[in-house]
Amino acid sequence: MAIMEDEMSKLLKLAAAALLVLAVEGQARADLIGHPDAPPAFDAKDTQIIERNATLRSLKETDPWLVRRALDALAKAPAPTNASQKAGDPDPDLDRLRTSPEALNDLFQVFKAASKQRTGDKTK
Amino acid sequence: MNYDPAHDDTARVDDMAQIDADLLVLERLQRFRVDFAEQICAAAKSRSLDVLSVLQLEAMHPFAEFYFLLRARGIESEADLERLADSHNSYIVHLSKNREKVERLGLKPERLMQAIFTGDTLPRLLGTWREHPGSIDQSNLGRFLVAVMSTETARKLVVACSEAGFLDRVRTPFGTVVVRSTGIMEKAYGICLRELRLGVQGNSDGDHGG
Repeated sequence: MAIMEDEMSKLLKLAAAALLVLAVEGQARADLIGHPDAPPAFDAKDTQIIERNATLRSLKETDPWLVRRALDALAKAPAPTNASQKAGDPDPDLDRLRTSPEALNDLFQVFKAASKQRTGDKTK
Repeated sequence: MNYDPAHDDTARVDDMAQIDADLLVLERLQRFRVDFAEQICAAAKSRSLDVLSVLQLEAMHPFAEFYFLLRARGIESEADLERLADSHNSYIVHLSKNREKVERLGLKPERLMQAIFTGDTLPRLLGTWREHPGSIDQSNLGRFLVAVMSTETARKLVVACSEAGFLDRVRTPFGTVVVRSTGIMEKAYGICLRELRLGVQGNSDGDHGG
């Protein structure tokens, strides 16, 4: 049973790490190359953000530099809006770094549909 | 099915060739994103770190893609734009019926409803385009991008892109902000996309080796 719990914990950690890598993708991918030997510094504001976000909390000890890069990316991201913050969200700040591939594909399809209509109109 | 070591080896080799090909596409896709970020920063008129950091936001990608699609899909005339607005409205109506997806995209139903081009907003969208082809009111741009990014992110990108020389941004006497692309970002997007396609095609015609 203890082994199973350990495995579950590892899986959850991996899932959290994958989520964070997705979150920082784009903004900080270049920064992820190379990990300096010394641990990163976190100021009071950083600590507040880490405490608010479950994924950052879980990775602070094992991957502090990944957490540092995520915080740097968050600092560049637009300020949060009320609409973008959901109550009970385990990672309220990390959500700001995400973009939805689903929505982007929808936008592509909107253009495609408009383009098809245009072709259809021309052939009539 | 009986185990056949020879068959298993062949299958494994085939799989490895497939995996090599998959990795090539993945590498090209990643290169595409890196190249686009590099090109967009190199082309920026402003060297301000504030501007450059906004241009490297993930949201810059869909933003440039929107302008690329306007050009690539031939949205030129007022009628073309009206068709796009109709297609957008149909999408919003369809999306609003899918509550699970609306929540997944982090949207609120009110915000979604506000993104529909109505009897009030559609004439302004078309009028702006008619007077200055290629121009879109900033709030209407936000309507098109509603599911992709927040209004605030779109606003930040518009400001950074105008600083960078990618958008002409004009405040009208009516208090609205009208933006028109200078063509730089969609050109950069198109060049990088072409490189991606040729890179994948070139290698799939020849060897798959990295």
